[in-house]
Amino acid sequence: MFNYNLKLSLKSMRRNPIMTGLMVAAIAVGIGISMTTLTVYYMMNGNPIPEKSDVLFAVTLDNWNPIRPFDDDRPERAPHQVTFHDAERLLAIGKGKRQTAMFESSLIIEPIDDEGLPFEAGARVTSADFFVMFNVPFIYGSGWDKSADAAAEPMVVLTKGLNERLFGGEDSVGNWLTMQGTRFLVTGVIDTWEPTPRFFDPINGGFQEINEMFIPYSLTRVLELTSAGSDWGWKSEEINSFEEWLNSEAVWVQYFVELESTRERDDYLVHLDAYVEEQKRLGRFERPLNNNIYDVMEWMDYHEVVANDAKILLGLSFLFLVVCLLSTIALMLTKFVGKKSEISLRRALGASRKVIFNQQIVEVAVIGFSGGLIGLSLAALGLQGIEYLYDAPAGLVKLDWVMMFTAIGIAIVSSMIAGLYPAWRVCQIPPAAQLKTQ
Amino acid sequence: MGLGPMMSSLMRSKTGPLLVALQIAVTLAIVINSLYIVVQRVERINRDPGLDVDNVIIAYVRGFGENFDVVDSITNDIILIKSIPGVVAATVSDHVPLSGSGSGTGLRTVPDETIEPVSTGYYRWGEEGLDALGIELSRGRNFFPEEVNYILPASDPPTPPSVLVTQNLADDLFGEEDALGKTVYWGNMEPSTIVGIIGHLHGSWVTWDKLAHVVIQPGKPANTTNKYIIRVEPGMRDGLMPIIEQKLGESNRQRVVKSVRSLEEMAARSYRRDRGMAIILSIVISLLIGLTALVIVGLSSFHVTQRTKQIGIRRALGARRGDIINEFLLENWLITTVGAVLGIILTAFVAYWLEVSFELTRLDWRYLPAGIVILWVLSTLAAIEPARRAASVSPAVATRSG
Amino acid sequence: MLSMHNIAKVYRTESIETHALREFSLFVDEGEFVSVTGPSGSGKTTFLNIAGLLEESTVGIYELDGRDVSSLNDRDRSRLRNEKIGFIFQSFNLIPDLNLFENVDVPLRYRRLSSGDRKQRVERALESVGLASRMKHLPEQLSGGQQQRVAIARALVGEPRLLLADEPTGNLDSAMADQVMKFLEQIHADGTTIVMVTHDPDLANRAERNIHLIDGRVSGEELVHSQEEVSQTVGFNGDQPLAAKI
Repeated sequence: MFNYNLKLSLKSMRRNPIMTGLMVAAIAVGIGISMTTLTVYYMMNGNPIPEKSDVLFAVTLDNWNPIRPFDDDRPERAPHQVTFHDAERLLAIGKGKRQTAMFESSLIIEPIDDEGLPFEAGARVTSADFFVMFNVPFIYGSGWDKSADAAAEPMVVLTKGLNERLFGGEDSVGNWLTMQGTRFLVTGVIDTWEPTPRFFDPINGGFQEINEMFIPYSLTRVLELTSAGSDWGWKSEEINSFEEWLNSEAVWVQYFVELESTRERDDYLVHLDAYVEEQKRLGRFERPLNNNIYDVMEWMDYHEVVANDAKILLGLSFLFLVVCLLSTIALMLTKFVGKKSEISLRRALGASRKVIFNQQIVEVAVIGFSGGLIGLSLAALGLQGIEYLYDAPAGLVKLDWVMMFTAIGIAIVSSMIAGLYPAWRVCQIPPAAQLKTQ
Repeated sequence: MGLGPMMSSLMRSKTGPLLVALQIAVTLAIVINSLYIVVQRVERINRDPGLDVDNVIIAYVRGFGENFDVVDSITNDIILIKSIPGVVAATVSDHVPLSGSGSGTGLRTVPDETIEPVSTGYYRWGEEGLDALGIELSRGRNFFPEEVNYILPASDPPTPPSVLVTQNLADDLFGEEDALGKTVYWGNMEPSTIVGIIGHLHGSWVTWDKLAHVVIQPGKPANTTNKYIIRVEPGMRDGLMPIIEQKLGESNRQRVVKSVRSLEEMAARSYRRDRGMAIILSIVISLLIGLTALVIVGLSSFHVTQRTKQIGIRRALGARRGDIINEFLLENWLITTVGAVLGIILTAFVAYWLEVSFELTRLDWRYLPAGIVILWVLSTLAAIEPARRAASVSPAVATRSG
Repeated sequence: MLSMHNIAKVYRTESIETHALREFSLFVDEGEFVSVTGPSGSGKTTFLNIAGLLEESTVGIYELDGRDVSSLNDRDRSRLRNEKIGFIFQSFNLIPDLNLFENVDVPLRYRRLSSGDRKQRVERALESVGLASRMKHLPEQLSGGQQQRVAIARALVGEPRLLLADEPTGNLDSAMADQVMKFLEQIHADGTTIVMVTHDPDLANRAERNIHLIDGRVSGEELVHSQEEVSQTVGFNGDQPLAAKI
């Protein structure tokens, strides 16, 4: 019966090619637009590290101005980054299962041979636990040891792209790299790693490419590394040396901790409070105790990683889909007027209402499926357009399997909804009415 | 046929026309709200930044190596750049307006920490800074060369006595009073005197509501990365960019030229979200209008075919072609108007949603009549061809049986 | 085969009530060939619609093949229509974009039959009306008489017990009409019950019994001729002989 219905719907679609074309086009455009915006939203709203998002926490401490909060609009919030020296001390105490501090910087890589030119590369200055905590995949080698952190040894982990540029993609572990006069030992090369959004640093952009290399946090003092990300300060402090800058109240370091159980979380908050109480005795942290930890998804919400424009477009494009469906219903209803005589004949020849209804629904589904397929290609095109318009890293927004099935699903379900009423109207046609005259 | 019988004919086949009216209503809601957003974004992109965007080049260089002397490097680079024919002015600066990267600070009119400071963008550049960006000073004076000193990294130089502010910042600091010659206090409560007022200038972050708040200190920031702002003769920018990049690269091997870009490109990048949104919504509007028009054409044509016999009978009974056309157009107009009325309500809902959820400014009510007129014109244009086809039905159809 | 007792059918609109049939009773025996005549508006078509389970009567009892069908649901009525009743319409009612095979195939599609089985039956039915060679043609490529023969094949393909014909020759010239009537007579001779609505007294007289309707009631009944006589008239000169039993 299904095959027969399929055949009938194809015939029916051919009988009225303009109407059919309009219906398919309406659904295709509706799906194309709404899938484009839904994919962008889904990408922005996605969980970048689903396997660990509930055990990784960003840490905030309130070292801000005693007379005004960090964020006037949200006075309950502590600054979203911590000071260099607080991060350093929390790392040394190491109370969590794992912890890491980090900031963005950049270094000049000097040429390996005589022909090359020096160039600047972005670096994430971080500590040993980073790679294990965030499940970073390696092609060669691994991260550095904690001992390298402690001794401030110049070591570097390269991304696949930078390793390609410097060593032609070969296993470079054990090689040396000169950056700003210091020789760094390559300990590992990571594989393609694109957590989206870039959850560990939404402050400097949730959809940037990750930095090209990773070096130990403890090198900051030795090499006088400065942050390429944003920094915030409130206190007028006299700063006449790099050391004084590192010891200032300016916040520019992101701090993450891994905690597995509720108990560990509670203990960690107690530990943070104890740390701040101790600092209070030294005259710092003049605001009331306000230490917080945020898991990955809370941290994404905190930074409103999903752009308002993406939400507006999502809302408007679903209204657009509604218009497309209204068009489809109107066109289908109109089309059914033209089918009256055939339907009443089929009813007379023994087709029950249910059979006729099914026949219409199959036709509707065929139209929905075709519209959905075309809509998918439109969405793929739309996403390329969006990458171009927003200057996003290539391949940042793409239609994965989930999105493709969602698109076809939405196309079929919504055209079914659009087709239900017309189909119901069609099967109300009495078997006799149209038989006598034509 | 008058309005009465037509209404009753519409009511009898109510679902079809109701659907079209609903479609028109939702179309109106999307089109008006999207159009409003587009217009706002375009207005924002086209705001006057108060500087010569078209003729400014920005060069980023960064030194490395043990023998690198940043002050020497900057001094020589500026001399080199200014020696290139076509260059009008050049300066080193800590940040570049419209670039998305900058510094912010708070200023007060009295040295009292408990008073809420006025937030502002904040730059440090040399005496040629205004010229290098093509900024016009409306009153007062520029920095004297002797006021401009190198600022070394991790140093805390004395607060300079002279600063420039934008008129917009001056107004928010001093209100009605004339700001020229007045004293402002920094976060460390050190004072500076306003020596010049810039009529209008945009700072670094184009989405910030205090974009036109700018304060400028004299100084030559000698940071890790040095940013040179270079203004060239009109029309010479694209030709000079590679020359500047090449000359800077050759002049000092202990330094990397990170990039040489036009300020226009950087500003466009800062506005890319607004531009992207405007383009996407324009596409949505066009597709929507196109779809709705096509659906009206399709449905009207189908109705003409369905009613051939009825039209023939009416023609046989004396209706003129014009009567038939008017009848079709009037019917179409009625449906559109019902849709428009529903649409106004829906538009208000969507506008409310946008205003409350995303803090967009309230929809300008004048967009409503504009949108309705557009829909009337559109739906009439879409229906006119089918209506003419209806009018061309021969009265002889009435006597045919089939 | 068909028994109607005190059937009434009332059509109601907002302002008017029309009594299409009132106190209508009729009994048609298995294997009979009955013609129904009457002026326009006398209720002929309403009677046929109710008999064919296309419409339900407002009141009264209708038994088809010994079964009360007055209160069946849509699904059961549809199945009865499909299995027990064949229709022939004045305007043929072939589906224009289906070829002859597909047109005849339509009723079988609403039964659970294998495709081989369906193919065999459709081919046999088309053979019996002499159009097997034109299976792939579209209706518009045929003459009116040929189209009506396809409609007859479609009516017979499901082996119905009752054939309902509504002005089957109304759109045909007299030669073609005669041919179609001969088909009906042959079908009747093969044992199928036929009820035919017509306004043509000559055609009506070719049935065994004529029922005359006026104002929704049976106004007269007349035995036309006996079954023996009918079978003697067989031997028409159609394209091909009608299969003995389809």
